[in-house]
Amino acid sequence: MNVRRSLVVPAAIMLGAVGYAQERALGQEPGEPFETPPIPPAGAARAQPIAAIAGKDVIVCVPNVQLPHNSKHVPGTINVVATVACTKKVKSIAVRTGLYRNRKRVKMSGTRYFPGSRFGANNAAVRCRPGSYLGAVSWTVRFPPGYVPSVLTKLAWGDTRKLSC
Amino acid sequence: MGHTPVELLRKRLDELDIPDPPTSDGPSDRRLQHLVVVMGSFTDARMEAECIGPAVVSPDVADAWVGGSELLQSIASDEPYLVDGPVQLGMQEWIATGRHGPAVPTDVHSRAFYTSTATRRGPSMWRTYLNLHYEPELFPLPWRTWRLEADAGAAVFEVASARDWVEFVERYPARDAQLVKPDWASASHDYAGVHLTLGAIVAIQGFAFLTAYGPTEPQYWDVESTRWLSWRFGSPVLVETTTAGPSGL
Repeated sequence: MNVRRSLVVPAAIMLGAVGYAQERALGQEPGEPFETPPIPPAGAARAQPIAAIAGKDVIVCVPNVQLPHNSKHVPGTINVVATVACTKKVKSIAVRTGLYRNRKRVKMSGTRYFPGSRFGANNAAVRCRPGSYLGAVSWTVRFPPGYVPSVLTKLAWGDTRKLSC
Repeated sequence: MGHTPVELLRKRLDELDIPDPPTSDGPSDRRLQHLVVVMGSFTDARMEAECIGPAVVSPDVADAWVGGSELLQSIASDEPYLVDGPVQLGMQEWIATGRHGPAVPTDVHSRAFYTSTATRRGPSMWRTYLNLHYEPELFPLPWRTWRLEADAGAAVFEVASARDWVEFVERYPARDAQLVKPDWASASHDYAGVHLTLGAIVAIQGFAFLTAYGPTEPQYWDVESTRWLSWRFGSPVLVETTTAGPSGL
């Protein structure tokens, strides 16, 4: 069965073809967030929502890759925060965040798990050097029993921002 | 999508007050973890991206909205001093990361020194923040947790609301470009520390408030904290050394 075709959700929250192709190209399993690419590809997928359905119930999850910024807690470092917010509590959310400077990945976070939550977040940081910074997030949502699909992994990109130190 | 400042505050509260709130069972307080995740997402970058125009709100409006937070009410039922104060002088924690030396710095006049209050289950909210934002570049290991007991007579300015924050900044103003921020050195003549409760942090984080001296500088405290302006502690006690980074919650 083509699971994605069975979802009755607005087109705007269906899986993005570009992101899905990227994940396939990276040869990743769908159950865990993966390392974001070493170099941002052309046509990188922006943050797109995903959805899972169980009967009439739909859970929508939305990623948000924030603009990189100078850390408030540790001056002299550039930090990027990525979040995932779902409309209902899910089985788990796992998040990895990548940080890029001048179109080259300079930091890849580990995986942070949020069991039984509606929210997940992770961050990546480097010592500040002037340049153009960009964040990316690889994220996996495991939905509650009965929802289709049961698990989804996605990749999304934020906007580029020039930062000085 | 852009929001007005009040809409963004309401969005923050919607994210905090989820319909199925995390329970407080288990070894760590899921409610505090949830609060740290949500508030940690309200960075200056997010405020800039999501707020239409200057993020200026009325302190009374902010306090009114935050006063209805179910999550804060739930936390306050167990740990009222985190939400409403006053600071618990004998339960302060300071956590050194690999950036710090082996001892607790006592020169609080020359550098900002923040503590967070130990919770009923043990670790302070700052430790929860570190667990959730572990990033070797920002917070290198090891982490040394020190317990500090402040003098019983230490005067602490309590900031439990946006209105309190405005009052504090107006009492000790320091102009910086177009904004006004606290003059900590001036405040140190009257107070040993300034305690920001969760009620205040949820109300003020990322927002500016109009004062007689101009708009206040947006603050990003994230967790219940006290900024100390003078060293009023007994001997610090090392309670834990962490050498391995957290792998999850």
